Amino acid sequence: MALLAVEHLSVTLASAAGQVRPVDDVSFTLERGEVTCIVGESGCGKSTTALALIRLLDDKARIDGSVRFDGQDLLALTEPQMCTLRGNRMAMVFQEPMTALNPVKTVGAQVMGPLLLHTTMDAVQARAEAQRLLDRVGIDQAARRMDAYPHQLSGGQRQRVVIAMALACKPDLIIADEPTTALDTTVQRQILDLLLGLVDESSIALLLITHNLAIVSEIADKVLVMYSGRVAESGTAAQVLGLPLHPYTQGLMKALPRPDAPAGTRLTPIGGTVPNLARMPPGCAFAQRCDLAVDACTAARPAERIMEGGRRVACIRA
Amino acid sequence: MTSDINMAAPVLSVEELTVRYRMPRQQLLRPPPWLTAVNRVSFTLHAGASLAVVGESGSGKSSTARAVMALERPSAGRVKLFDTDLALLPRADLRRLRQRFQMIFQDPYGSLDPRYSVERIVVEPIHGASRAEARERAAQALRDVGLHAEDLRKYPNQFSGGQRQRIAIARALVTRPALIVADEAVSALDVSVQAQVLNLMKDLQAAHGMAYLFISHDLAVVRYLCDDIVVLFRGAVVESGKTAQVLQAPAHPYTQELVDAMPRLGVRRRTAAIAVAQQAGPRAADAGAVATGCAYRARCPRAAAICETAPALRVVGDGRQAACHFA
Repeated sequence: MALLAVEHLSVTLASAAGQVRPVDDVSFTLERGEVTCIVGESGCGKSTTALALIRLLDDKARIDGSVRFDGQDLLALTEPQMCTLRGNRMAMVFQEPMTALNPVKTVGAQVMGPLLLHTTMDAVQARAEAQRLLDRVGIDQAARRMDAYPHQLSGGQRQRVVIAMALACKPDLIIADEPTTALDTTVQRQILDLLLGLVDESSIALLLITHNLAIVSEIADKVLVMYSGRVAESGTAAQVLGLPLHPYTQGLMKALPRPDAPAGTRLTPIGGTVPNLARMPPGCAFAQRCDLAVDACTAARPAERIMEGGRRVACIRA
Repeated sequence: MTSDINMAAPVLSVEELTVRYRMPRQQLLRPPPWLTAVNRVSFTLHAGASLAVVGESGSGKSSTARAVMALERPSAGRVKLFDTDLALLPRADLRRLRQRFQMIFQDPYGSLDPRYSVERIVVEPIHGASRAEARERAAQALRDVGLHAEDLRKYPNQFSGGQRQRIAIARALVTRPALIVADEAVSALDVSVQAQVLNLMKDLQAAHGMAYLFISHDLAVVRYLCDDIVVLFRGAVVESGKTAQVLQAPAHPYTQELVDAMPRLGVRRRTAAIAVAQQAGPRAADAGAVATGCAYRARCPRAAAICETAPALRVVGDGRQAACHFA
C-alpha cells in the first residue's frame, strides 16, 4: 500500500471574480524511500497541493477528493488529530528558512520543540536528541550551535536546522516546498544531497516542490508536471524528462538554457500567458498556447490517458 | 558634457575597484570594523559585448553593480564610463550622464512603482525632452520590448511578471544607453518567461549595440547570454575569461565548484552523490573566512602549504586569468 494516496484532490476558493480552483482533480501516490517532484511555473498549484495535503490551507478553502496517509483519511480527521500527525509523522520544509524559524528562540530550543510536543522525552533527553539531529544534518560544532539564534547562522545552516526540526520525530513523509530556491547553487547542492541521503537511509518519502527541471532530472524518481492546477503529465523522471509527451512539458524543456548547448542556440519561449484561474477556458488549459492544438482541444477537457510504462498524460494530441 | 566623452574607449572600465563598508561597532571603545565587499576588482566591457559577474552571496556581485551605477562611492579604484571617472564628476553632470547607463533589477514587482502609469515609469530616465517627445520615445521603447504603445496608460498591476520585466527593460532602454547593468534580471522569472526576456535582451543588443553587465548566479543563463565572465569569491576576482572556455575547463577550483554544483538536465545524482554527502559531514561551504593567504583555501580540495601565501591574479591562457597557485 502506498504511504500517501491522493485521489481527485481539488481545492476551491471563493474570490472576487467568482470561484477559482487552484488545484483541480490531482491524483498521485507516494512510496517510502521515493522522491516525487511536483514541477511547474508560478501559480500552477504546486504549493497549494502540498498545503491541502497537510491541511494547512485557510478554512475558507473547500477541499474535495481523498488523501489517505498510511490508510487514514486525512480529510476526515479533526484538527487536533491532524496536529498529532503534523511535525510528527509528516513534516514540512519551507522555502525561506529565516521566516520558518523563530528569530527570538535558540536553534536548540526550536529543534527540541517537536520532540517535547510529540514524544515522551523530557527536556534533558530532548536536548541531547536535538544536538544529535543538528549533527546529523551537518551542522558543525552542534553542541555550540544549540545556543545560537537563527540570525547568527548562514542561509544554508538555517535550512539544515529546519530539516533537523522536520526529522525530529522520524517522519514517514517530508514535504519540501522549494527548499533550495533561496540558497546559493553550492549550498543548494549540499541541501539536496542531505535530503536524498535521508530518503535512502530512513526510507522517508520525499515530496519535493520545485520549478527547476534540472533538479527534478537529477533527483526525482517520479514527477508530476502541473499546469493551471491540473496534472499535465506524470510518470517516472526518466519517462517524463527523457521523452516528454505533453506539449507543455516539451515547451518547458525547450525554454531552458542548457549548459551543454552549442553556442548560438536560441531558446524557444512558450508563447502567450497562463490563463486566469477565474476565467478558465473550456477544454484543455494549455490549448491557447499550444502549437499542436486542434478544435477538439478547446471542446472538452482532455482526460488523463495511461500510456506505455504506466505514465499518464492529459493531452489528446500526445 | 555628453559630447566630451571618448567614444573609442571601452564603454566601461573598472580599475582596482574596492568597496568597504563600516560595520556596527562591536565594543564601545574600539573603532568599528570594516568589511571589504569588493577587493581590487578590474575588468573592461566594450560596446555590444556582454560580461557576466558570477559568485555566491557575499561575493561582492551586487556591490560591484552598485559601484558601477555610481550608487556607491568606491573606497579605492575607479569606475570609468567612456574614460570618464564617475567619482570625479560634478553631481549635475553625473545626473545627465546617467542616461547613458541604466539598470534592470531582479524583482519586477518591487522595481516598478504601482502608483505610476507605465508612461510615467518609462519616461522617468529621460531628461531635457518635451512631454510629447518623451512619450513618443517611451512608446518606441515599449514596441522594442514587444509591448504596445497603448500600454502607456496602464498600471503595473495589469501586467504579468514577464511583462513587468519588459517594462523595466523598456525603462532602461528608453534613453538608448551604452551600458545596461542587469542584477539577477531573470532570476525571479519562470522558465518560459525567462526565455522570452533572454531572447529579447539578445535581440535588443544586436539591434542597438549596448553593452550588458550581467550579474547572475545561474551559470546556464550566463553561458547563453554572455561572451565573457568574471568569477568573484569573497570580493576578489578568482578567474576571468571567455565564458565558454571558463565553464568548460575551469582554472580555479572555486569555478570548478560552481560548475559542479549546477543542476543539469539528464544527470542522475540519486545514489552517487549521497555517499559523498554522508562522508563529508559538516561541509566546507560553511567554513569561516581565513585572514591571510588564499581566501578559498578552507574550502579547497587542493589546498597546500603554498596557499598560505595569497595567489596573484595572473594570465593562464588566451585571454584568461586565474588567482590560484595550481592554475
